Amino acid sequence: MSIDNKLFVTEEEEEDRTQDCADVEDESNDVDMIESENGTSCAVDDRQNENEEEGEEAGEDDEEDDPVVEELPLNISGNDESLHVFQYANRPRLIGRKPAEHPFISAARYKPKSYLWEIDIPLDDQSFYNKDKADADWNGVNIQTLKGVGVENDGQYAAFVKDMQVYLVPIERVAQLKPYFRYIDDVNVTRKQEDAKRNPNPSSQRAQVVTMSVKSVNDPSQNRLTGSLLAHKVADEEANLELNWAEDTFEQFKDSVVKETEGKILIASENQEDYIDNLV
Amino acid sequence: MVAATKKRKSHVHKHVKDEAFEDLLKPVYKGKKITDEINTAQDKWHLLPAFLKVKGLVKQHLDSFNYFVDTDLKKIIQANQLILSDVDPEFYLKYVDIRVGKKSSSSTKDYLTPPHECRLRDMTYSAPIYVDIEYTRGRNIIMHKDVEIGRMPIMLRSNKCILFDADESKMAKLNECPLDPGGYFIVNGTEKVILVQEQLSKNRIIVEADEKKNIVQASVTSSTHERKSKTYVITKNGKIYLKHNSIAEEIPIAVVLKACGILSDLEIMQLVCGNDSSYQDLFAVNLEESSKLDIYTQQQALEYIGAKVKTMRRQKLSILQEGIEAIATTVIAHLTVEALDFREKALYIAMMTRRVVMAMYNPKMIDDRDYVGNKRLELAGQLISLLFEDLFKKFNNDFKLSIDKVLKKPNRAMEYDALLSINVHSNNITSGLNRAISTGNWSLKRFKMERAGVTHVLSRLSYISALGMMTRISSQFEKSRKVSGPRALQPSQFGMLCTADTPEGEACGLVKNLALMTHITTDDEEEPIKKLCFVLGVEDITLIDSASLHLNYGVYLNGTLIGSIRFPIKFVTQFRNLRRTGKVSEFISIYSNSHQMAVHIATDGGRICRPLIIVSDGQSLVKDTHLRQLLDGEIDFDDFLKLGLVEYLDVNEENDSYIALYEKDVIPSMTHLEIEPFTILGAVAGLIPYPHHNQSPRNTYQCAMGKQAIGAIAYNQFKRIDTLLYLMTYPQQPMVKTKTIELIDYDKLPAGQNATVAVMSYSGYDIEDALVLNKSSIDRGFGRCETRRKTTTVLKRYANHTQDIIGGMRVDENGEPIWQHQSLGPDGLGEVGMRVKSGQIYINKSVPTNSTDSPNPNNVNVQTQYRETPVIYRGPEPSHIDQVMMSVSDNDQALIKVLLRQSRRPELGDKFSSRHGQKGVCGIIVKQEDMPFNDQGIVPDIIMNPHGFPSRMTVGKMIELISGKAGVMNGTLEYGTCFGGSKLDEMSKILVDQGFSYSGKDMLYSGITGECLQAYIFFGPIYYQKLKHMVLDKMHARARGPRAVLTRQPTEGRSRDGGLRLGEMERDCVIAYGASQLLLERLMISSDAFEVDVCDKCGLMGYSGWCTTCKSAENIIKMTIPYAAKLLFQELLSMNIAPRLRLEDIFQQ
Repeated sequence: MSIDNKLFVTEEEEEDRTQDCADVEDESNDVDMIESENGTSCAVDDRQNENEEEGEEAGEDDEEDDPVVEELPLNISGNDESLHVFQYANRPRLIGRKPAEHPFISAARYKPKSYLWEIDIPLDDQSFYNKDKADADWNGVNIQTLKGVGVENDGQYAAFVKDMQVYLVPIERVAQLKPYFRYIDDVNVTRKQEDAKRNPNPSSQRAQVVTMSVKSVNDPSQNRLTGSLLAHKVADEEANLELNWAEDTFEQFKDSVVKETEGKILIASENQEDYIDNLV
Repeated sequence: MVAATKKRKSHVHKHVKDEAFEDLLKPVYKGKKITDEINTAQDKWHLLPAFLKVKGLVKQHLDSFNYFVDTDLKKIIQANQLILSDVDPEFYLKYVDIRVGKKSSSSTKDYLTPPHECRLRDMTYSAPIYVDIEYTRGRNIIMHKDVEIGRMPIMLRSNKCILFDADESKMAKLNECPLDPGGYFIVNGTEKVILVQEQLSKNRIIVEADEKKNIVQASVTSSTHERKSKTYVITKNGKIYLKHNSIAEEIPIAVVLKACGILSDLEIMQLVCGNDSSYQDLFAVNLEESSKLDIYTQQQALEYIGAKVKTMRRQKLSILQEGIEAIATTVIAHLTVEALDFREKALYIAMMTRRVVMAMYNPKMIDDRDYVGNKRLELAGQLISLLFEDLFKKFNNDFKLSIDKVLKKPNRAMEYDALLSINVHSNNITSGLNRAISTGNWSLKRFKMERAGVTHVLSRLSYISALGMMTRISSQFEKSRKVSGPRALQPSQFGMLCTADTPEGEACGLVKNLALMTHITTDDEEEPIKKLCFVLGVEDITLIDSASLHLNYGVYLNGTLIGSIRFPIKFVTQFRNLRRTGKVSEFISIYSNSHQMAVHIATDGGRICRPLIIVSDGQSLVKDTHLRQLLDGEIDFDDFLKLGLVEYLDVNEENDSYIALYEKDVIPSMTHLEIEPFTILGAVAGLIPYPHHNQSPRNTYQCAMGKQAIGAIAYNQFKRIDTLLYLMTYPQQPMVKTKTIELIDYDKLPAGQNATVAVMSYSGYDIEDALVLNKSSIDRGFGRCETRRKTTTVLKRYANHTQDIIGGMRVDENGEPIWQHQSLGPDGLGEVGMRVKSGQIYINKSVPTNSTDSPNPNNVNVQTQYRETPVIYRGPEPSHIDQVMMSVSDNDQALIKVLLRQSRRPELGDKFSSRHGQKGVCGIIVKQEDMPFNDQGIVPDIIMNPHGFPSRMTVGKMIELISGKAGVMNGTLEYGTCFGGSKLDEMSKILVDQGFSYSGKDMLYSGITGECLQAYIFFGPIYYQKLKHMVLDKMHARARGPRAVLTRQPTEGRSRDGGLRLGEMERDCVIAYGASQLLLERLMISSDAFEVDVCDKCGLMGYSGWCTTCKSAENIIKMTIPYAAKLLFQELLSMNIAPRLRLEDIFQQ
């Protein structure tokens, strides 16, 4: 789908869409993004579906009920912004009446080959936190880790309005961040190892005749992992990219997008019919 | 693009001269003059011939085969593209392209042996399969085009067949019948049909409940190219588990979801229940399961599952890896996860669970297995595709092994060319395909599946029986099971499957037939549709968070959730509009289901669908102008689709629409209009005139009998040499036709004659549905038929260079041939036209006495000794030699076929039937002089007893008689089309105008006394079929004859000249009557009486007056017992049981 053939959108629809997003996002309203390359980060409060409008516009010809109030110029950037959307699953969208802020983040890790995000959120050890238990059972865990795989998307954009102009920035990947209890797995592993040490397997104690054979290169049973197993192996072996978390960079980001798109004029490369023909 | 290509295609259509369409331009077409006024309400049925012109009756078979050879084959080789060597990592062989029956260099198709020649010469009608390959030889990459890897049997009249698009003259040149529908294969000379198989749809969730056991289960049969497996989500004591064959235990659903990465209980709850508190209450208990098992992390869950997996693997995996593999590929196998994110899988399992929870809450939320919308039809193309992929994989495997074998050799003199070993295995594909089609055993290694009885020999009893076979659907259900559900008539069958045509007895309701206007879809690409959905406003499922999943309607593409939509109605309407404008394939269906809050889109193959006229704002979109254009040949059926006037609906989408039966019934809320109501019947039931007046089982009976009627088979019937062929000598088209009869060309190849029937009692030989036949009618040719029977002989060659020979005829002293050789010619074969009587020889074959030893190299001149093995004619009546054919079969052995013909006139006991399920045998043949006659002197051909009517309620037969009579008087052919046809009052009017009674009754005079009969007799023409059951083939008697070797009792069965059995029940009667001597005679004396020597002392049997046990002849008594009894005693002895006979004198001395 080419970006160029975006048709113009009215303000009402724009607003509609903002609400759409709010509905869809639900509790993961505060969408953050990090630019991994240069470490700057900012937050965008809107996201929209690029081309859901084709059909609707054709269907909604009720000009009288729904007049066009204003037409806004559209800018698309999309050169080197690497936007990632985080969806905080399991977190309420609203705290009281106010939309929830995204949590404080102490560390962020990314595996660029596997698109694996991990962020650490420090736990509030003042309330609902049993320090004794944490120390005794779970190696004194004091952070919550959220983990998510960035999923590719087609035609999702982040947008903001500035000076009565709409700016669209393509989104690279969307990740649903879910709690990841590494400390449990860690404790399990150590416990298993201890168990193995304590009650050694009787079979392993017995003296055994060891026959040695040289592994053939042509052994068909050599490990050829495929599919998901391979992906897991790659992810396990891949090193984390430690990233800094930067707050309050949204304005800066906005400016950079505005600057970048200045002077570029979007021209529709095809008309509506061609567009639909290309789709199906 | 799509639209453009289609347009081009339709232009080509118009330029091709087409006889069937030329017919439309003739002054009178199908009872309609070209100048007649066009009335949409009545004439929209013209769409039907237009549909059949494009689609044809067996189009589903052809479509599916064409799809296979053109599209599916390419997909198969793409999926199995590479052959790599384990030895040489550099080596590779890649399949680039595949073609059937056409070389890449030539623009035309390869020459194939014509189908009729294949039939006669017992060959397989097949075309070579060519592949283009690319492989390494040493350091070079070599491309090779048109490498033949085997031969593919070709479906007749498919686009690879030489009969494709052939006109009548070309068909005649190739000895083919232009009316033959094709759609079958010719393998080793026999015509084989792959019946349509009915199955539960794949990759769809089916929810069922067992109320007695209090179980709800959702199951899905996942089917991909590699594997087939079934996953269940079931309830057990109110808790929900996941079950799969390769996982040893049922896994609590919460654990499964945790293994898929849905770790928090909140999210699990959101995915399964949404905001519905009643579902939440039902489901909550499951969340405890995982904490009871101490499973909190994905790794724990995966290890839990991994420990329970029971698959055999070559490569050892850790428990965690087993768990990942199980979730990623084994469970719900059709959604294979390639990456890290299991969310798609989690959603699918969650949706299954949700359906289970819904059914637990409301037991009505279950699916119906028998609903036609949940069925898929598997056609020839799909079945062959499964088979081919299996064979191709085996071929590649063998190929790889032989490559490895060569490459393994340490120092080869030459660079190895892999092409050299490709031809070695090409026979595997050819013979694998041939064997499967000829035996009907479909064995697929990769699914570990064995299926028998997939193919059947095409029944050539009559044209209609062949046609009926092509539209037949067989079900996977066991016939023996006493279940009513799958056998019942489903309302969703309407218009898709024939409501009348099903066999009686064990297969009743399991074997079905397609209705006249059905189409079966082939697979369509999913990706573009998915893309289109997103454009139409569907939000991608991967981006939706769990909490808002169930707020909106879900969009399911082929059963898999792809997104959600806020405005489902609008979405569905827009999608349909795109389909109507031709942007999307017309066979993709979309419908919404408000109970499940779902929009379902189906692109998969095997769905049954049918065309309907689109209604908009209470107006049918098809107007008289369109029909005029259609009649003028300006547009065809595809244009109706393109113009958005007609669309295909599958069973599920039909449920989403409001369909008017007739144009007068259309109201604004309606969405569609039937093209013609009579299309709810199939081709075979369409023969019945006025079926809507008959009691419904009668129509079903006729459907079974119509296939047994003797008639014309095909235009090439006299050129055929079939095992057994019945032909009617003077077939007539019925006086009362139906539109279906014309559409399927039954009127050109009819099976029956119009008999004048008097419904009255005569002579008493007409009780129990027996018919009285007029002897003069028989003399004139009524019911006359012929049978043609084939004998095949192969002249074998043996390893010692001897071979079978045909001897000449033997002559007596006068130079005349001996009696046995009277019909032989000098070549030792029967001469065409000669009569052969029972005992005479018509192929004088001899085989060498010694065919095993190696030939003696010393004396080559020694004459080989031969033993005569002539083919002798046996039969109660003599036959004539009709054709003698000598040819060479595939394996270069001489093949001789002799066709014997017998002409038969009806005789006592031959079976006849009308088209209303009313069969009867000929009870008496009466001289014409003795038969009743009417005022005009018309004498009936058949007298039928009136008792046949009251209980059978075949009113259609009566109306057929009246319409037929009116037609005779009027000089017209009348119509008895279902839900229409010539109106009874119009027919009565004609009768009255011609001076007959309105009711069809006539005054008749007795042929014997000449007096008026006391009642008016219902009298007129009815179409009668002669059925294949004839006395000549069944009559049997035996005074003495062959006996079975083991028991010395008479053999069984007519073919072995067997005895007539006095069975158990007959025996009971004789015992009850006390006729002991009769019993003794029947059961022993006339059967297997045997005299034994019994020793009175030891009670065992001896022989020749000598007891072997007592070693004496002292106490030997001779007595007669059945041989079977003696056998029993000896068999008992052989297992160490000694039956001892204690003898007494019955008659005291």
